[in-house]
Amino acid sequence: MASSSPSSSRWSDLLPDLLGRVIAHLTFPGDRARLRAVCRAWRSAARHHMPRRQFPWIVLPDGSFCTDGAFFPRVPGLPENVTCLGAGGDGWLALDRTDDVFRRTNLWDKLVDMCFLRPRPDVKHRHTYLLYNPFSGETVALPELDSVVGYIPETFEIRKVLMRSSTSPADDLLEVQLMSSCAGLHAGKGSCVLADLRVFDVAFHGDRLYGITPEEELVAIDLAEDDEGMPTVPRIRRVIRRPLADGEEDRWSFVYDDDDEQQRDDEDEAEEHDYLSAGSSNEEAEQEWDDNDVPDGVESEHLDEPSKAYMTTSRQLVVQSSSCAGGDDDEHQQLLMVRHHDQSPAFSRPYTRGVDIFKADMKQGKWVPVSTLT
Amino acid sequence: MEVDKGKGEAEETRKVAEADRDTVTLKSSDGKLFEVSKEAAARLSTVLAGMIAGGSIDDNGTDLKQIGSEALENVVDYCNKHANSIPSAALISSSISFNTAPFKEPEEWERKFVDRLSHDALFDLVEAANFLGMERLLDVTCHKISEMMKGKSPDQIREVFNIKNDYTKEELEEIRQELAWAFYDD
Repeated sequence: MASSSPSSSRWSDLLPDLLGRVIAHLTFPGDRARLRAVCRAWRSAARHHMPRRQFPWIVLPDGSFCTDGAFFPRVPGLPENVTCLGAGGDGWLALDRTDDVFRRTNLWDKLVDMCFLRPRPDVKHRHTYLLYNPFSGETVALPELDSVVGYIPETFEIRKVLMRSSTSPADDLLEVQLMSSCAGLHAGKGSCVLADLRVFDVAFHGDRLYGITPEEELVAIDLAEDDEGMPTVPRIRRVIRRPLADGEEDRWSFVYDDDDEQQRDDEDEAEEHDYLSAGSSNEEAEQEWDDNDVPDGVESEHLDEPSKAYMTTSRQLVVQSSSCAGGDDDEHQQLLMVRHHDQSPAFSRPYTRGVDIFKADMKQGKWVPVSTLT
Repeated sequence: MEVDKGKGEAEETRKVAEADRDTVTLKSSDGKLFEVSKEAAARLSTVLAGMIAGGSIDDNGTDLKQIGSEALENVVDYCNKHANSIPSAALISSSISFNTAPFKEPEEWERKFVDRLSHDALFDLVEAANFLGMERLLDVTCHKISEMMKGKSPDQIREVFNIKNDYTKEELEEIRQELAWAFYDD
């Protein structure tokens, strides 16, 4: 090592421990992968010095994140003036770049004179949206979403951003859930907005998008592209329907139903009613919403017994990939509805009173209660 | 008792005594001698700290047979520069660290220090730092090496580090397929 003659193989003989240290400084997985492709010695050294496993990142709206027990103040390379809306797919973050200072103010700074500042519906801001991948450093602008959203009041929220394929946002469809509607996007191609869809949570299951309504109905939304890559929605249908009470009218059939989809028999519906009797209480809660208000799947009810406290129920649509081999196959994925009951007693902190999980049985058109998750 | 001796000689002795207290002498593999502040050496190198504490420091030059003169000069240079720069609190408190503790970015002078090195000198320095257990210097040098790789293709990395591609064509194809997502140029 004392010899100073430049030999071509010196760097490939770098001690594995030292190469491991170098790898630790490479934050992008792409850089780590390319390092392994350089030569045999590096590849075998890298094998022992790759991080034990890649832990998930929990990214907060202000751009800070936690991973593997450590807190980091900012995602590497994150652009300025952005709020993080969510993660769209493998490593992709959906960002909102805005001059809306309210949105970027963290909670504690919003506390003024013991009162939290609230967003104002009369103050509007310009927003631009983009996708950013901190592992590869790639950025994809979403001008389509800018034009869908435009100037918006501070109260407006983007609820969820999904990517149909998790790796290449530039070539595939995106799904954005706005407050009361959904928008399908194809970066650089166009968008289509599904207004008044009345779904409060959406998830991709296979190639199709699913949503749940306040009545806990499951809606399947077919997404397609026309010849120019413009997203279109050829068909929306209800996969799971809420059981109707005797003589009750299905108020939403005009939104979802094609005539040729009426092929269910009454027996099924009666059966459903037994275990999903919450259906009718949903109805009452839902009527309290204004037309402009958002059905977001959260309902509150005042319980007289036993605790005289508020209970809120929220619902989410979750895709569960089973851990068995070939897990990304449609066959092995399940669509779950998670119903979360929160109790908020008057003088103490809210707590989770219970969680119900249902599996979507699309063939039977039912939610099937799930007791254990595999 | 020193009164009997000449004034100049007394001065000389005192100087040597002072040197004994504040600095250690290190000897490179090719026999060159370097002096480095004892405090800085003990603070920056776990190995030197151990040798100082264990009394195995040789006044006539502690033999570091694994380190060439050029690398040792850089090590000593780094220690002296570090001793002169204000020790940052974060560096000292680095003991509270997770496995994945956020690396503290090199300071301006550290960046300049590694930037001026040739590739060979950098290679020798990183190994010397490793041998002497100099955590911070290892971080700074490894950070520099990682900077030289970032965003580069395997071909470009090989070119930068003058590494021979020892994969067969078939292996290369296999790697390419396995890591297809990592190659931008496809």
